[in-house]
Amino acid sequence: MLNPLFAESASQGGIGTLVALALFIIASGWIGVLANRATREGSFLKGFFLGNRGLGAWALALTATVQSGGTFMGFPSLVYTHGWIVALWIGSYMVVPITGFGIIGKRLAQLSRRLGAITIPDFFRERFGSSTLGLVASLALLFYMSFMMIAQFKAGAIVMKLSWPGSGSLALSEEFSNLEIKAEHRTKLVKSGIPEATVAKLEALEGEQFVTKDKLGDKLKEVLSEEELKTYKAKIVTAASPIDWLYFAGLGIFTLTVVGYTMAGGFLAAVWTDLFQSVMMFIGVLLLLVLSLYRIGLYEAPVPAPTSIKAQAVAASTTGGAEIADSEAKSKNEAAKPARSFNPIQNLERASIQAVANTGPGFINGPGYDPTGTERMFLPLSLAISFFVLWVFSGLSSPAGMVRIMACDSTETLRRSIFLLSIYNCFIYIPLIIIVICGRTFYPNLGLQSDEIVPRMALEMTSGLPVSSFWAGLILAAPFGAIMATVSSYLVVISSGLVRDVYQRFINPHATEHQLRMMSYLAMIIVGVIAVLSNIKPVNYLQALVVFSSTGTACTFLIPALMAAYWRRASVAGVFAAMVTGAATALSLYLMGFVSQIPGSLGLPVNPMIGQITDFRPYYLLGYDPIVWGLSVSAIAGISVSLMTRPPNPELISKLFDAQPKAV
Amino acid sequence: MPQTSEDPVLVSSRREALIVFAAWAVALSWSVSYCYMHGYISDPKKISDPKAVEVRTAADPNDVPELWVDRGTGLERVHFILGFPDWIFWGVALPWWLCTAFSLYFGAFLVRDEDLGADLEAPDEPHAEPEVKLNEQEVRHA
Repeated sequence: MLNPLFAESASQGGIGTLVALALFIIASGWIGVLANRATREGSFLKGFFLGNRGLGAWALALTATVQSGGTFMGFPSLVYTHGWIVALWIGSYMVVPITGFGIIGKRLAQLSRRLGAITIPDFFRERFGSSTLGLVASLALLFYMSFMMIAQFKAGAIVMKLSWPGSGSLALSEEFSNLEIKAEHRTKLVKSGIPEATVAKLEALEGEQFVTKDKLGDKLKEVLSEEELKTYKAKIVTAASPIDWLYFAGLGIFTLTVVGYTMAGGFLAAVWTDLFQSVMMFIGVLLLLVLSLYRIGLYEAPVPAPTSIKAQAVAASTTGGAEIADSEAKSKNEAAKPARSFNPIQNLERASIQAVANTGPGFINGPGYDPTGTERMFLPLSLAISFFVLWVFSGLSSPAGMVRIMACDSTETLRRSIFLLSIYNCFIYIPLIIIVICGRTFYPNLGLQSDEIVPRMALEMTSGLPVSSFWAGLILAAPFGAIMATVSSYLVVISSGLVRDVYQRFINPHATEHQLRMMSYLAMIIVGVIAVLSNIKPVNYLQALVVFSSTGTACTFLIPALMAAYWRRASVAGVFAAMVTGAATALSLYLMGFVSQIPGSLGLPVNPMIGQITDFRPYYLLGYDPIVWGLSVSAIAGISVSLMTRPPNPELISKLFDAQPKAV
Repeated sequence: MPQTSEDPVLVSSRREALIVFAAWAVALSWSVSYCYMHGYISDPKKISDPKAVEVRTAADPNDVPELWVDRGTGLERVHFILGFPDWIFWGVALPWWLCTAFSLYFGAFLVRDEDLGADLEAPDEPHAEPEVKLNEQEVRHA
């Protein structure tokens, strides 16, 4: 249920949004050209895949950690659905600036220079003198990055689609689509052999829109006989499903843009676009924060009166969100309008109270509100601990982030990056939570469309401002830019893996620079084509795929990277064991979650109903996220196998761990 | 045999990593335990129960109403600090600001600047094609 006050205005983007995105695309192309010029110095590989190790503090700080489209869409959707507890879910970002750069940054930057490593597999290969280790690292990287890439292409296409004026709903939800049965659909159904009498019954649905196929199916039950339903339901639903031309156009434009500028400028194009979007995101969030806290005071929220609250029937529906069902309660609420307030602190309190009144105690307490009403716990204690591990260590071991640290120009850059990122994070995450809590008052029941809360707030809060569509577009360009930047950086990592670690290593070891350049372009085009083909039927579980990929990468690379950086005794076999067991543990737990029969056949308890509401969920062994088990197993295997196997070459170790004489 | 000393970047990097690990452990312990002890519902049945919420008018009608919730042990008033529920303020918001302050201190005073060393060329890194340089020479001649 949309609050009537906002029913009309915030349903879709306007021309300003489209203009903002068009400007963003042009700016990205321009950045690609600039980056192309900057990478021409030195060798192609180091320039194209590592920016000649010249990354400064701004570029490193605002791009090397885990900011992506999820920051603007997936995360706010969770706040909207589960309430204040999401602050604890994301709380570990308070230490990400120091963990991201302080645990391994300096040593990684030093060793990659000393080893001449350009990619992550390069780093492991040279550090341990083992091509096998390099190959395993390459394959693991390609595997995880492919999942991330495909999911991000879908997100990019959807944002492109939404920016088109008149595109309809802002919904970003995977199950959401506008199904309707118009006259032309009925004609087609008759031509396809459905009796006219049956089709005529569908006229009763003219003008109605259905957000899911299930909803249309429910309605069909009311107008068709059981026999008709059984025979023709599938055909009718298919006919009612629109061919989403805007989605395909969005996918095409997005792919051409991002592959184009990444091919032009490589690593630097990815980093500079990322920096650009991070700055946009910062401006957008602060603007939205101020507007939300101000306008929530103008909005005469129906804060429940003392006698009215218990009269409210909160109908928790499977679509998520609750709605006030009792009309008497509503009228009492209207009578309990608070005084208009411009006090932002009081306004935030009022927004929280309103949200709790419309939902339940879970919205303002742990383990978080459960919209399904099934006592499902979003963040029990075990998962609260797990997420303090997940965000910190998945950011630290993200291949795109590690490469950027390898590319930084000095330790001073690392120090300044800690400064910048600390301030940046402080002004992004907590303000986003506040914005969404206010948003829950404006839009009490977005249900499946909770992903749209920030775009909706952007459109609504800027309405009435001078050049309002420009401001809305400015805010909305941020998630689009975040997705583009994420895809771009993955494109660089994947193509560097294919060209440097597969083509140059195994197919053509004596490749010339020209050949490597052509192969890099070809790899990017192939990856782009595969991503487009994979998204013709869009993948589901976008956010879950991203979490899976981050978890898998951390379980595969974190412990090996720490061993490589700090442990003289780490052996090839030990690091190999750490990589393989970490990855296997994470993958097994995800498989056990996906195929629900596996835990039972192993004598394990049923998967607890905790965490995010999605079908693509891991098996939470003892309630903990797979990252905790993956990292633990990886560490135990890495240490024990290293100690059981032959120590590494003392000369190589001395070169990497002992002070080196200064070159004269 | 000459005595070798540890690489100075390794020494400072290890020291800084240990400080960071300690900060992460402190942040985790404080935030999770504080929020769990002060902000969690003890009876899962109350999570989505609208009857477990009560809003009472404040003494001054212009003030924000009082929010009372039942987390499993009877109705308790929810207190707010700077607009945040009090357990979020003490368990997440304040620690976040303190961590930001510590991060600034860490970056300014605890991280040592070091020379990262020369950037070695990878053994199999191909060089730019000579024809490019020839072209440049031709341009200069022209």
